[in-house]
Amino acid sequence: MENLGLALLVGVVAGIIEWDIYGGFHTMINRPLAAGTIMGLVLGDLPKGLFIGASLEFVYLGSISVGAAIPPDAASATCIATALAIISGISKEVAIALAIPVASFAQMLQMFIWTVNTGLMHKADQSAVVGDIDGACKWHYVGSFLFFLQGFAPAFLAILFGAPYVADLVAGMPDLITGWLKLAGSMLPAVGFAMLFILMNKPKLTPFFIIGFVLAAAFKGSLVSTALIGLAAAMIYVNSMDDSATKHVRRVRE
Amino acid sequence: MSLNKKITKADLHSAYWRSFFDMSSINYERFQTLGYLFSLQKVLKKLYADDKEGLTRACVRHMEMFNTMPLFIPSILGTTIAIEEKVANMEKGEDTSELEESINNIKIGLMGPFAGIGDSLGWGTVRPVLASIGAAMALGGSFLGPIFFLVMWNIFNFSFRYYTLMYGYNRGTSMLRDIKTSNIIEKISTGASILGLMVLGVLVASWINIRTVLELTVKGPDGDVVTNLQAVLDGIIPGLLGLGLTMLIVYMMRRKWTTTKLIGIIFVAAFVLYALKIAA
Repeated sequence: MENLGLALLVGVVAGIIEWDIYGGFHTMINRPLAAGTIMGLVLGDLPKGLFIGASLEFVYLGSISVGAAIPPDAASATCIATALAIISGISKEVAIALAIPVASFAQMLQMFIWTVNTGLMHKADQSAVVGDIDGACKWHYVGSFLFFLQGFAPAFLAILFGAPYVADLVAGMPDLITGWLKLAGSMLPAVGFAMLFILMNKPKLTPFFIIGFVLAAAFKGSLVSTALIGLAAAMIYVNSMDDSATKHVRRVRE
Repeated sequence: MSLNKKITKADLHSAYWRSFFDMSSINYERFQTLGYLFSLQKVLKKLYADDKEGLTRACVRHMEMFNTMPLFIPSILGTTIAIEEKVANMEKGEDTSELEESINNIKIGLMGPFAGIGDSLGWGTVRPVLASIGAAMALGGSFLGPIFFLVMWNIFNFSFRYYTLMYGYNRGTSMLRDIKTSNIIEKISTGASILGLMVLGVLVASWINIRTVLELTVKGPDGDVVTNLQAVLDGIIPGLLGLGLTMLIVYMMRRKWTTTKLIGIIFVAAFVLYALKIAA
């Protein structure tokens, strides 16, 4: 229990970061890039937090919530993986691999809260039918707090109980395991990229993906320079589109 | 029609700040519904201060299912506030039912198209583009990466929400017509997709680091000729393996493989490839 204070600190930081997803403001401190950096800063190892956060950002770049689908919880995973990496001295590669199952577990917690919140709706209904708007809206704060708790609890428990075990577990890890996890970590971004591709690609737009790929792969085009070419291409294309709606694309979120 | 209950800038600002909490009580039954009512709390209380019945009807109508892409909630809030203002200012005895019905019809009419364009604009383009630039900077060792990402995103986040809320309020009922008759939804989502796909091409080429270490040895008269397979692949075009892996996953996802399953397969495949010294 000697790391109770540390566990509390990590828990509160993780709770605030998690809260940013659904709780409020959506400033994107919940994205791995920011979450890893903040955790690294708090625990005094900025370079490690920066590296883990940025690596996980690529893994979860395409993990987005479309409609009612809840994506893996990258925020919780980044916080816990970064904190364990710094406190228990895990290598960066192992920490990145460790984040993957944590993200899926935390995703289930989010689904649980979405379910619990349904009860809040029914409470709010009772106030709404009698015109008590304050009474209905107060349930909204409960939901907000639950999302803080959803980030706090797993991070707190992971540091309090998990940190010593993880350190032992990782101490004698053979090269085969570290090499394997490093390779897996460098393949994983493909999953997120595939999700983004499915979200945006239409047959008539595929040429732009190919152009982007070739500019980078064969001509060493940087991200920003290619993005600017992409912006120009988008403007040219959009300017040639009809001004009035011919068909209305309807997509109901359910 | 007399306007004795006027919506002020301060009222709109209260809805603006409250809109940042749009997902606090998100749930499987009615999604962002309570968040929408929460955003309108101050406004509705002011408009229906002396009309308990009107307030009750407003509460009940805003408890109906609502869900869209969060960045686009403020614009819909703007139109709702404009119509609620009209309803509240109608003479006693006038029939408000038609106008009241239009509030939810407009909400429902906008949430579908906005969900679609919001996903490709916000989650598919703006955020991944900014985040991947930031993450690339960070992996290069610069702590400016996350700062760049957060600053740029939040300029977008805070200003987009503000201006679309004001636009929605000023246009009122006409906004739905604006959206449906102009091609704006298609234009924005197509433009965003083009930019997003181009950047995605760069990401696939640069950030999937899988390289084969296989070497083919051919016995020749002047000794063995060793061919490095990766060098051959790079000769075709660099990044071919990453492209192949991404397209394979796209193919499997379209055949309804879940993300969790695919991630599991990647871990297994990585073990096999590494243990058999095929890739590193």
